[in-house]
Amino acid sequence: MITEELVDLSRLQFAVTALYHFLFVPLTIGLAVMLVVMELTYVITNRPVYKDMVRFWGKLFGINFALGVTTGITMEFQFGTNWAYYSHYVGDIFGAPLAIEGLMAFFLESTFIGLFFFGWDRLNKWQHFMVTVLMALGSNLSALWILIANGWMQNPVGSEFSFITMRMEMTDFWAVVFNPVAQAKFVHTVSAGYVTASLFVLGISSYYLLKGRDLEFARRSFRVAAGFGFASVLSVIVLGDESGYTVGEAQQTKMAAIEAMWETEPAPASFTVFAIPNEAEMRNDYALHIPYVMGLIGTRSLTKELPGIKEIKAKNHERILSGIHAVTALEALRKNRDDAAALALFEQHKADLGFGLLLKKYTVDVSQATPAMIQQAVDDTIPDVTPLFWSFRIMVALGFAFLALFSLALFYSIKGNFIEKKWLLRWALWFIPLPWVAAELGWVVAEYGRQPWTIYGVLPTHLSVSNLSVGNVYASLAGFVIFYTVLLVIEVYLMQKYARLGPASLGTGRYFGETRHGETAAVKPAHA
Amino acid sequence: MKLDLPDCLRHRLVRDIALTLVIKLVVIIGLYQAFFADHGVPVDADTLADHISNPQQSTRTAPGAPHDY
Repeated sequence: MITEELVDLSRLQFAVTALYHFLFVPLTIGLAVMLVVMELTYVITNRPVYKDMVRFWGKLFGINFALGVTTGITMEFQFGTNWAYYSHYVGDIFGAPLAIEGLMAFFLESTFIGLFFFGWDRLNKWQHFMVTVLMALGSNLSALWILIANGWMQNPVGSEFSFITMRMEMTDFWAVVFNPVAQAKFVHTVSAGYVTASLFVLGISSYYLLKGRDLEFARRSFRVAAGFGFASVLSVIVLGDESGYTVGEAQQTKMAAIEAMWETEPAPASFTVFAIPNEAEMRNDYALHIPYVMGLIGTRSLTKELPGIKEIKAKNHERILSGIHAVTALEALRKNRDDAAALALFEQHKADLGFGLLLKKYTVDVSQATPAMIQQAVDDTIPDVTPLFWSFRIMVALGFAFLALFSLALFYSIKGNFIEKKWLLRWALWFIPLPWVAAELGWVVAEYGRQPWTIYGVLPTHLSVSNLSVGNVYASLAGFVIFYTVLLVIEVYLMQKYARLGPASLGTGRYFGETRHGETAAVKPAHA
Repeated sequence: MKLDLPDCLRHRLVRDIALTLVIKLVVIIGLYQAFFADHGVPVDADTLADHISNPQQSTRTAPGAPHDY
């Protein structure tokens, strides 16, 4: 029997693996592109310090890639085991971008990572630069195809349900690829990765500057990170706004929940900076608003309204009533494919099939659903407001804090006196973990805000879950948590070890500590 | 007898990463064998239709899975 406990556990397991995986991903995406910037500077200027920068930051990139690379694979296992009904229902569409990602992006990335590390003595500097470009391209293309798959879950375009195969079937591949939700998510997510990597480089360079070591190396790394980070954080904010616009179009429910917007406000709606959402009474306490902002973000217009939660619920009520006809017609068609009356009824209501399926949580025969059951299903269509409201605001606040940091870092880089600004260096150092917090909260907003659907408006979560034993899911969840935590501990250990060692780990003889205490004894220069 | 390592494996970081990858693969294969192998859920149009029609009575997981529900 599929219980709520089983559904929640399967969701938790996927969420845990995705959140762990996304601790590694943003740094890989961002550092790969930063390595391109550093290596381009090297091939143009021919200054050895830039080559050292590529090799040292590339080393940290390699540790992150090696530790993180397989954490995503277990999610693909789970589609088959924990989400078998989901996989059948939407696998024809969802599987395509995942397969392309493996063949096109992951293979490209993995192949050129090998050449990146072992090609220094075998390739000339332009060839090696091209290797780095292709490695960065691979990691970013990987993000693109994953986010095309994820974008389709949020906004299922280019597809149609077949009652014969009981699958969603692709009708327009390019609509799936150019899904505006997917494209907005892609640019927002990779920009967030660039910010993560920039802050990582900025923070570690600040550490060297605060310690008064490896000054030339740290100064140039700081400048690259400040410039790249400033451009990236502007992109995150602008493209996050674009993401808000597409969310507004495709998923007004998520937007209303993020904003705790209970009532439809006159256009243009205000943005709620602070409030304590009262979900029971559907109102906000102590609300502080900025006029017009939400309407402009969500609709790009001064006259279009954004629907509030109460209005959305009223519409969803109608769609559930229509969906009841779609479900009963589907069940009749499964018994007799030639039932013309059922086919006509199904064609008339099939757009609301997913809404009718929401009732299956409460009754086997949806045509006998009581008003109380229908109201429960209507209430289910709105995700919990409070977690979304706060996750979004903390993420946005962090984004603006990064903007302030990178603005100052760039300003003082241009002035040339950032080494004297110890407060700025300490700020950069202590901010290193925060882009990960922002990125994880972004995923919470995107995926928790999609509930109660796995595919928005098409397939409810409770129908997507495999009929597994609760004990098995508990055991595999515990296995994942232990295993991933071990990986994370190794990652942090290796990162801090090589970050503390610094460019001396390259064994060039030019850096801090290489002639003292035998630090380089562990790293043989000839093979670095 | 001293093992003659290839050049690339003489680097400490490469050895660390190689060891991590091997351990990781072993653990993943172990997890797969323990929790996933033989626990696949065969789904076709009919089983999905049955599942949607009555999710509470849908067929339990996999051939060979040691469950009795």
